[in-house]
Amino acid sequence: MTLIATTSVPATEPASAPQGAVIDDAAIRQVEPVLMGFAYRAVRREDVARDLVQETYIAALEAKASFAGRSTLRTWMVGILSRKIIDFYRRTRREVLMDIPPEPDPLGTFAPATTRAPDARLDPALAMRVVEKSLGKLTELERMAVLLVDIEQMEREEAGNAMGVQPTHLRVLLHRGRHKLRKALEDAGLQAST
Amino acid sequence: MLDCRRAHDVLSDSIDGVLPWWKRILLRVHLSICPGCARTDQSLRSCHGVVGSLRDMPPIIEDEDPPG
Ligand SMILES: [Zn+2]
Repeated sequence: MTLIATTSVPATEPASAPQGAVIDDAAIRQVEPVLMGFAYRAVRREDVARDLVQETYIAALEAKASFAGRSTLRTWMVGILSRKIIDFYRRTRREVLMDIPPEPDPLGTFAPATTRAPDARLDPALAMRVVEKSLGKLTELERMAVLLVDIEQMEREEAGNAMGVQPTHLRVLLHRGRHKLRKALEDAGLQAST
Repeated sequence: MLDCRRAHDVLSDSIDGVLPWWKRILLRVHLSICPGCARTDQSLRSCHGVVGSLRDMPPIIEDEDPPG
């Protein structure tokens, strides 16, 4: 029994789509760069990302008749893609299924920010590179949580549904993922100024 | 009163605005008297801003070990 298997929507069942939106092949393809970026950040392999995006197109086109949604096309398709990615994780990396919600701070992420004098400014380009690289060091589920909530700006509830995890689990994943990224920036000397 | 550990535990929630009002006030009080947690809070928010700025950027993934 796994967490993912016990919760919410099957990976192949798309969420509802935006109401009244014109959803056709062209509209869906316009979202391609976003989907490719999301998938690549999530799985870190271009070939796999491309396959997952293709599967997402097919699922979206098949589901377009059932449009009755509350979100944008981008959010709707990212939701479908997320289910494909979680499904991919499930197929390829069994340990992700054992990622049971731990106590809020199991990995010792509780540590005050470093006391070293903060840099006067955050170098945005360098900071983005550090974050991009550090995303690859999060666990798969932590990374998905951060991608959905912090990059795609999904509501927590929507993100939890897309990932098939309970709200309490998503909360922990966000907590851990965000503090790991924060520490990575601090370790790189890119702490925020006061 | 929140101690440092409890304050730390809700910093991420506070970013998403999902804390009940009373916890929000307790956190604000703690951050006003605890430079360590205030620094962590600011660092976390700053990092959150950087992560959010990736939204419309194509990913630049340099060679890396297989993700874990
Ligand atoms: Zn404190």
